[in-house]
Amino acid sequence: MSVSTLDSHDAPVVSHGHTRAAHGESPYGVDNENYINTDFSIKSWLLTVDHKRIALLYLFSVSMFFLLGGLAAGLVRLELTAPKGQILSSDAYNRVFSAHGIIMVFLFLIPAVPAILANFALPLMIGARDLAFPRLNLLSWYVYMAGGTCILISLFSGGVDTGWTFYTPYSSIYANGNVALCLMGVFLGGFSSIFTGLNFIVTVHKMRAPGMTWFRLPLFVWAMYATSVIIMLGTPVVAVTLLVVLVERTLGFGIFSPELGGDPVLFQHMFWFYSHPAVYIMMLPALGIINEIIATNCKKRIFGYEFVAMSSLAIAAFGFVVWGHHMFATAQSMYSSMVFSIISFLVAVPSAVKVFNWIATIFKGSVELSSHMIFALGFIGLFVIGGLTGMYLAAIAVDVHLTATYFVVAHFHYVMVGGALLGFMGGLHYWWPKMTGRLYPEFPAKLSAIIQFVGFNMTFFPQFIVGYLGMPRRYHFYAPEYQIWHVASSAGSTVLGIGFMMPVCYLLWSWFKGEKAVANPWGAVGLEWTIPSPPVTHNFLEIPVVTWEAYEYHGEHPAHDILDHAHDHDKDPQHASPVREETHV
Amino acid sequence: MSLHALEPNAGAEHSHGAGQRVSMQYENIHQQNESYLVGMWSFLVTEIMFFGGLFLAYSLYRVMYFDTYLEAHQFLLQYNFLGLMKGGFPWLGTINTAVLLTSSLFMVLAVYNAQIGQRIKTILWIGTVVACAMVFMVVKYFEYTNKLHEGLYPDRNFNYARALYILKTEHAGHDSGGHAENPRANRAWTAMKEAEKAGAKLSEEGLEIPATQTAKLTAGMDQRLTSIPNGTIAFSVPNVAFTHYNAEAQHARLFMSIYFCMTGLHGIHVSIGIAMMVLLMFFYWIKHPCVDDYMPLEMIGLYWHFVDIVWIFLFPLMYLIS
Repeated sequence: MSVSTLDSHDAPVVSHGHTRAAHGESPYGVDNENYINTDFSIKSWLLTVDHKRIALLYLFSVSMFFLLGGLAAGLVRLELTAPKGQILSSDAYNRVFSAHGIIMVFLFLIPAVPAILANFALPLMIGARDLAFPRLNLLSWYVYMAGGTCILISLFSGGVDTGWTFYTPYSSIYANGNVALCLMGVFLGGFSSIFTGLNFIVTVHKMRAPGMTWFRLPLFVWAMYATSVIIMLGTPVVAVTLLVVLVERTLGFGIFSPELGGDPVLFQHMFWFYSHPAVYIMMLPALGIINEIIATNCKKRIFGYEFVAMSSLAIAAFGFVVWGHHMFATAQSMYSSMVFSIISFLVAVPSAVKVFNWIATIFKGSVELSSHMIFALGFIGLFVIGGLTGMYLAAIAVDVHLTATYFVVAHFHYVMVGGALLGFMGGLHYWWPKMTGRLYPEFPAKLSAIIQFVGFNMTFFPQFIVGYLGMPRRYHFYAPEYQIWHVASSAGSTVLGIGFMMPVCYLLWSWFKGEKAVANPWGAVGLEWTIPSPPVTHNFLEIPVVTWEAYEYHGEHPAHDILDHAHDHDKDPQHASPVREETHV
Repeated sequence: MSLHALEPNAGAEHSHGAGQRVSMQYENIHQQNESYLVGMWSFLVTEIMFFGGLFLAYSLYRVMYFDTYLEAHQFLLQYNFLGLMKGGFPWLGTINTAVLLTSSLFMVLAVYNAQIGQRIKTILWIGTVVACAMVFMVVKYFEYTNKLHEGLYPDRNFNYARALYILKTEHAGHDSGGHAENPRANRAWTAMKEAEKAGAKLSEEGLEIPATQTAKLTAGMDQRLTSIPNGTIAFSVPNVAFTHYNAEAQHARLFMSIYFCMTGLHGIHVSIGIAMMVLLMFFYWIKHPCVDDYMPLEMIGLYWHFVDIVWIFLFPLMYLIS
């Protein structure tokens, strides 16, 4: 790990034409003032429009929901250790796995990276003082909390046994749970993510610093841009679909109702039109994070930058035309299935572009095996397994055998947990010093990355096997010969659980007791590393003018200057103010 | 300028011109205005996708049940409206279309006056738009209550026979002085007549199907009626006349569900527009600093044009099926 002695007292960004840092006074104000310690009142947090504070609000609330969803997952794994169940009734079991799915998908995976990490880092990375619409950003958190509250109330007042997919007509007519309130919660959560996505789109289009051209954007920003496009085009469709189910359930209308000649498969089309792209909403941000981590830890520009950037857009585009592969086993016509199958295979191309370019970047790089790099390497491995088993499922004949088995469960957990969640963890560790101004202890972080990787594989690899052998998903009771695989999986899930609890402990500890972080602890070159950790409320005192390419590790870059001149900026103030110098080029 | 002066911001600058403030996060007024517009247009894209889902459902069922659409849409027409014209014509829908289109013109005038700083004229033009929107909602109210009254509210009490009966005996009566057959409503009407022959009682209250037949129909349609003993009902088939009528009625209920969903969602959008415009009028009235800038009105204008365009699609798709 590259360590500079620079701290926020002498960050070399210039205000008003002279380097106050040279005179022993920080341009960012006195006494380490930053966005966290400007005001400690509850009101200042609940009414903040600072993207960094909103990111922390999201971090707190999303983590709470993650723990809740994780508890439900633990219950499910415990229950499945015996062929006839352990402690739950079948009805309760249905409600628990539905709670797990609904919380994890709508309240954790979808907002996790966009609303926490991108909310925090994206304006910093493009050199903006805030997102384009800060108040909309705050509104999105309140809408998210309202949605989360609806879902929690519905889950604790009877629960929902529809699964997270809400298939009609079960959800619209027959289910006896508190479905309407839950649908309302998911609907609100959708609007929260629309607001976030809309904010990102406008921010990336209009708020980039001078000189920050599209092809100088960090790849995480590209990934978030592609994600936001998906959010904007997909989420409204599922919102209206769930709204119709809500209307069917509460007002007695019938649009998906087969009783009236309506088509329940239409619901599935409309649902998956969003929900397939939604897996890319969860995946693309994680893919973006991996770029940042790998570039930083290899001290190299990402190999094939343009291709990686475009592959994000390609995944977003392909993502909208593959939804039919969720319905190979319905009455969908054979010819549509064939087309959907072929396009689903095509998604492998941009995904592979990313993976190969990462490997090419690592190749001959001076790899720093930091904790976030271990997360990133684990991510690549799990993403490859998850992606390739996706190819199995895109093949119609194989899919007919594997539909609705644990093979599918294992596949999407490899992509969603192994991919999105490990990517999130990596990103959280990567930006944690910037967010909190503290360094976490490296050893437990590395250990937790390894434990998560191992525990994850222990949990979900057995599910591939038991799924291939024919164990259907969502079943409460199963044939005794599957038990060994379920026990293996449940055992792994305890390891995984320990892996997830570790960061909670040492990250919380580090927030209060950790070593103070310098402005650029990893020796990275993004704009976010040119300002103090944690940043001041408006990020940049003067908007930087970008004259360098993305990931320029071997050229002129202010972050290098920070490192190079950290020790001697007192002697030569001009060198400590590269940002300003660039403005005069 | 007071609000902005509070912002500890080195980069922002005040605009030239009509009192626009630059928020902290923007460099200048152009960046701010462009961001607002890109944001609003992006939001409208999400709105298009939002309505798009319902348009998809509409289209699918229109292909599947075109005859039902053709018949059921007649209930959206008015017969002998104020003695103006004999036969069915979507008078109320046409009035609403005209009102909404005109309101878009008024909205443009309001935005124009806001841009040149004519506060009172701005308030008046927004008021005109609000008035048009109110007219739209009032007309919609009459349309909805009429449907509810005829039994066309598409829940479990949907009473297609009653609506058909009223259409045939009361409205069509004005057509040529007698119970003239409206050629477009023949399928459902014929099915209903067949059901009447098979023993049902037809009146203004609807079609009273004999209890044994109802049980057979619902047993096939609705598995939840578990009180019906399985063995006897599951294999007994209702009279084919009732099955025909039932299918017609259920498909019509599908159409009315879509009608209420789409126009209802549109109506919610109109109501939100009214609320926002009234709020903005209030802000203009008290000279609130936020309306020194014309952009809020400009964006509500964009929203209003979008609501207008949705109706331009809804009107022919719902009212002008032939």
